[in-house]
Amino acid sequence: MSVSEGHRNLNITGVEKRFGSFKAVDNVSLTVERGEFLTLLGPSGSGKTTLLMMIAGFVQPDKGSIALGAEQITHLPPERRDFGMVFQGYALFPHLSVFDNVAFPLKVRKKPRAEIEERVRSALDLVQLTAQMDRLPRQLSGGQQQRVALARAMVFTPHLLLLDEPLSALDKKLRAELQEELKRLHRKVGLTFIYVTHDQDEALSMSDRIAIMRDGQLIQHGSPAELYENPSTAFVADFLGKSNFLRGRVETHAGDDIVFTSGRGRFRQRISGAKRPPVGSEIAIALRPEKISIVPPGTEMANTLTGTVTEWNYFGSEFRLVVSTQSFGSVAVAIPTWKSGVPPEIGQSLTLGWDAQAGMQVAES
Amino acid sequence: MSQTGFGNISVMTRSLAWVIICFLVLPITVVFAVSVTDKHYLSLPSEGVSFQYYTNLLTSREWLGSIGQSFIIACVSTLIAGAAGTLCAIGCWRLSNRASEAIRLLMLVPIMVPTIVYALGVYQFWIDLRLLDTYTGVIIAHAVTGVPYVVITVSTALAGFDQRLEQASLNLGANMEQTLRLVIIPNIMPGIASGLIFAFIHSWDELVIALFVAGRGVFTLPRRMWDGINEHLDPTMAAVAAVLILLTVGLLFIDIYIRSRKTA
Repeated sequence: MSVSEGHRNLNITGVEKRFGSFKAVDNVSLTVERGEFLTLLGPSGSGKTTLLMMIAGFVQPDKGSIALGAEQITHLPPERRDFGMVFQGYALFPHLSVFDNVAFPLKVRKKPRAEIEERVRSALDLVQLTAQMDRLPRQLSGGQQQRVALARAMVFTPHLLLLDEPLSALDKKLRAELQEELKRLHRKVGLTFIYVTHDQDEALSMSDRIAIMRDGQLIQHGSPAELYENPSTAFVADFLGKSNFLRGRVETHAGDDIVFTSGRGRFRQRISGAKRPPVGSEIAIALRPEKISIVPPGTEMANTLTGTVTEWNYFGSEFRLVVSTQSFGSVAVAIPTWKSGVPPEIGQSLTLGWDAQAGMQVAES
Repeated sequence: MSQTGFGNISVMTRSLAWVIICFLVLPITVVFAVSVTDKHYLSLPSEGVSFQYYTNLLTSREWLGSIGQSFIIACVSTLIAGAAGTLCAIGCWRLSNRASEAIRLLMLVPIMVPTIVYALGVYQFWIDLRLLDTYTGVIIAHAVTGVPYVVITVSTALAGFDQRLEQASLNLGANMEQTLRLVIIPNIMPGIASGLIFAFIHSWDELVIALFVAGRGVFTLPRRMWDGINEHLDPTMAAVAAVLILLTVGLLFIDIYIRSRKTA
């Protein structure tokens, strides 16, 4: 299947939507590059679905504009946008066969019979469902229904594809399989995908770019690695993967590092250039559990911290511990199983260590 | 409700249910007995069973004419009630605000107001419109009083209709007319069919309005039965009643079948 000509960027500028006094989407601006896989990620009620519905044309923004390339589409009705969409729960037409479901967008466009036949077949071929063509949706498994929805949304070569939590109804194993398949499909057809999910693992593994939303606002967007390694706020650091938050007061600047104190401990964090906070200010450092290691007592390291194990869980590839410390309260630590030596025990005291570069300075909230 | 659930119902409840069913249904069965009477007036057969009144029914110009008239009136008024009621229910469903709730309630007025009051109103109105004793007059009156049945059944069907199907249709490029024709109506068809069946039955055995607005030219079946009772107690009436009952029961079974197919 080829991508339609005139495939353009989607420009969202300052859109806003209120439902009564509730601001569902609050001044969001975002550009979606042609051909990219963009994920809108956020907890429920963050406005990601409302934003998607505005792109699809089902919800009218109160303010702001949406444009496809140079063309304003803010007030264009949904049926004239040519955007494919995979709905939550798929919304397959229950009274039509798989073939007729996929043929629907071509039939309403009054394409010739032969062309419909050929394009439906090639779309079903793409999702490997040619054999199930004559079945009704209810005779298919969840995964197959999801693939019919995909074929139906792509058969008319839309400008872009919107996906509203398309995998949320499936079990974990099938999900992982379909994630792979979706990614493969995206690479193959080169269509712009805008994907809504509240599942951070899904977002990390599938997207070219992630836009994180909270309370209707766009908090941060960037590649998965950028967001994981450089979260701008404590919310992003905690929502995309787990983080410990080390809060303290800056005591001095030492070379490229700053030194901050909390409780009886002194800690170093690499922060240079403009982002460096002044001496005496309060800072928050996000520290990923997997960047902390267990070190022998008395080890010379940028940061060491002693504590006692209050909780531990075995996850096959890793142990996850919760260590109670004087400076930061409970600290989550993830240790690869092969590195840990002996299994931990509750009440055991140990020393944790991490590098000055391990943490990330984040804004509160 | 599952079939096995009946096992737990006590004997008392079950007996009571049967008593009520008999109370409701048994009087009707008298009609079947009367319709095969061998006497010349409305009575139970005494000497033997005779099908003469069925023969009479099938050869009488008056009875066959009334059956034909009632059938035409019921069909046309059902189509009008079906179209109007379905569109009204869909419109209210799409708006789903306070105004649409009020409209849905207003649509039920024809079955809440006593028929005789309603018929009197129609009569007054029809005099001015010169619609008395015309097919059009009876058809319109029956269509209006048939609308509530369609609105009720279609609204119920729409309550179970997934709104995302409509969104999906629009998203795939179908305009509102195509969405209505290709997606919404096929999915609420069982509800529409139920409504049509009820509207048809309503018109088919409606008497009060027919008494007011029909005269000599239009003589519906219930009207002829009424006259039959008043004037000469002709047992042919019982034969007609028996046929009507069988027809109504048949339509109800079709309705049950359509509904069960939907839930299957």
